[in-house]
Amino acid sequence: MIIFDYEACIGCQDCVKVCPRGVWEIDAIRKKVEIAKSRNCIDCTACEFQCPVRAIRIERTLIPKQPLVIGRPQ
Amino acid sequence: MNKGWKYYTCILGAQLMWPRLAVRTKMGLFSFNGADSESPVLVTTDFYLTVHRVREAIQEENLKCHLLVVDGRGINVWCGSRGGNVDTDSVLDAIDQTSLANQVSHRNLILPQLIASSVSKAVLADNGWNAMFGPVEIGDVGSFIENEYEKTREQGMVSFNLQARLENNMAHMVFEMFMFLLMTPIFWLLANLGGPFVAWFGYWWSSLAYIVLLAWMFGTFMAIANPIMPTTSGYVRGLVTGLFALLVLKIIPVMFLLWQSTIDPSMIVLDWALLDTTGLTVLGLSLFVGFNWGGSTPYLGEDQMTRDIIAGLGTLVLLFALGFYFPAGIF
Amino acid sequence: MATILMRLSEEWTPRQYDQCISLLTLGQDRILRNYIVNRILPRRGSVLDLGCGTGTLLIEAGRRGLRGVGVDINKSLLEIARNRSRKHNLGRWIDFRVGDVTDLPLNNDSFDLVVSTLVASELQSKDFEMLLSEARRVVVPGGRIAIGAEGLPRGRTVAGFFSLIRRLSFRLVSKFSRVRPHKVHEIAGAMSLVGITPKYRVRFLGGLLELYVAEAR
Repeated sequence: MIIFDYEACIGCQDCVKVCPRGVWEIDAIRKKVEIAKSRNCIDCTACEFQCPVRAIRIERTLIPKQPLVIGRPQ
Repeated sequence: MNKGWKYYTCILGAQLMWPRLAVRTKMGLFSFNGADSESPVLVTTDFYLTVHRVREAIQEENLKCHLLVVDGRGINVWCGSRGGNVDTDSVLDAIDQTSLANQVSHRNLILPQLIASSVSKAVLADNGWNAMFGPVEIGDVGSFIENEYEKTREQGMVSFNLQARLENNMAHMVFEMFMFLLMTPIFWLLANLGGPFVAWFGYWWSSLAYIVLLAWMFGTFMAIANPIMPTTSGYVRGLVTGLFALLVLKIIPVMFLLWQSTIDPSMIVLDWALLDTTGLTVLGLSLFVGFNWGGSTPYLGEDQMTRDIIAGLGTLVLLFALGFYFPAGIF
Repeated sequence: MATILMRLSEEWTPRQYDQCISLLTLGQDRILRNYIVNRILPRRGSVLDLGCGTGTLLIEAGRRGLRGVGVDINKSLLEIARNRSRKHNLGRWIDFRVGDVTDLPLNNDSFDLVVSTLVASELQSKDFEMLLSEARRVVVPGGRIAIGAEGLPRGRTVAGFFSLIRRLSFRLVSKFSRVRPHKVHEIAGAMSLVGITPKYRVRFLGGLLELYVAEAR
């Protein structure tokens, strides 16, 4: 399960560059990344490991869960 | 490139799923095609097969570069990174021991993308090294360098093409055949205890060739049908394949009988009793092959793997509880 | 009672320490920690863990983008903490230091949250008060202090029973260990004494574990 702190994201795209499954994509206008393909995620935690502002957290869940995005303005 | 004993030992180890046979390259710095102090530095782990493939790709593209081989306990990049066998300290250690700073004038490192689970770009930067995550496949490194260290989205994603799937299948089949052969004397020993074990062994021995053939068919089917499978779960694929196989095995005789116009109602009932001995064997085998298969694709997530294991063990427990044994010789 | 065995388990392999704690507190240490992580940690900022042990709480804080410092007297536990932190690439976020929780080599007003779980019970009253005053010193005005410690269950008979068991266990264990007996702290009172206002208290395991949350003025 992906937990993404939208507010903290600085749009550096490190996660985009390291994800082996193309889960992340950059939103160039807002300068933030977004989760394009959450179902592709294989919990390799490369994105969590690399994120310089710790905006990503991968949690192990038994039931497949939708990603949780926090800090996103409504 | 020369494929010596080390290469074939690694291949054999991969076929038998036996990590002990992984040969390790020594940690160090290798230079290719007259690389100088301006040439880029590629990084990889010390699994012999990995290094061999990287060197092969370098020679094929005639890349003028250095290769830093890092201590990763003889495990390939992706598994090693995810398993914590190679980390930022391993890379820094290799840089130190090879005096890389004195060998090149720049401070760029091209890391394999799949090492990103355990090697930190930020920490390497703190130590004065500009680390970039290159493409997933070594074959794309040439164009990565030419593109001023930019990769396409495809180059940053793992893929599992038909050839890779078939090769993978071969490894699985060799392993499973090996396991079946090993199970034969074990069942034979159990048969000496008498009881249902005698029937087990009888069934096993008489069906062994059939079981091996079926396993090959299932594995190959899963390798080819990979893109159209509805899920990444190995267990579910096994289930789908097994049910499909059951339908084929059951429908074809019925069709044949229809064509022959020799239908006997009781025959239909018998043939449609899907979960008889043969049915269970087919289903069980398919689940087994599917389960193994799922775990070796690059698309199976860690959570999904846990679910598969629970499903697999659960099925086994359920079957035993219901009185079904595999092979179900007691019927 | 759990504290005694906790002290002893620290003298065993540090790796088994976490498992021992889980066993002794009947898994409530994890519930306490999860409560702090999910309800008490600020969204961003800094946290100090006094008696951080193997750093589990701080690693969860670091993963959420909080900066943290962990202080513990036990070097081997800190070594484990540092290794774990490295595995999560939190070296730039969490710092582990050997030290005395009653005398911190830290500046005033440096943390948004100061936590201490299951350490307070190991200290004598005077040391506990020093820990609290140190916590008050290093926390920012308006920041929070969370102290998790052994408590006594409700009901006088049950509480009395546990008190007796505790006294007997200490007497027994002090025969072959350096563990000194102590009483359960009256945490709310001690906090007020040091100038911290307890805001609320959460009970776990029927009162055997308590978490006091206070705000620093």
